[in-house]
Amino acid sequence: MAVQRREITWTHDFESALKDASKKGRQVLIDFSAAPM
Amino acid sequence: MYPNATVAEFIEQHFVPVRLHVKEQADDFKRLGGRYNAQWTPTILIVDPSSAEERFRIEGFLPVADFMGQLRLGVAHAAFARQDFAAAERMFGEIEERHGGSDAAAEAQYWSGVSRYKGTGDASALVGTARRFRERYQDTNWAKKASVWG
Repeated sequence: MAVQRREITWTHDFESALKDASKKGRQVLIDFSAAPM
Repeated sequence: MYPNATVAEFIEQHFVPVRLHVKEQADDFKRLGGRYNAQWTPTILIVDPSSAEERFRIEGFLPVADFMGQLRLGVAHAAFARQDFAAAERMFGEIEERHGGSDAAAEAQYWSGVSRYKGTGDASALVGTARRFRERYQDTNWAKKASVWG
């Protein structure tokens, strides 16, 4: 069975993400990455 | 890991996801990597939005199934940290069911018992957890940690 693919909509603004997450009642997930872009 | 639809859906439902690439976001990678002591890639941090404190960390690659278990642990640990022990216990229990046999499930078995104890004040939760470790996940560090309870 083929693996379903879906891309995540990432933000690169950590401080804005904190505010957004606070409003939504979620945690922030930070991915420190060196993967090829 | 990320183009996988299961992983992507879970992350978008439970988190606000921030990517800091070592080259593309070099300044923030260095600044926040220093702040949170992220010394390897990939490092995934789960951060509380009100305090900006780290709640959970995943370092290095994992296959999808294991990564999902660790993400669920992160959500459960965040609930524990805000002292929502009933929610934490429920989440840890779900991890044991969904990811049975995995490293995440062994950790979840430990913290499920701790969450119950913290939520109820009933020490028999810890004794029961030690007993559960004699039946399952006996060869893990979590079993060693629980062994002191009985």
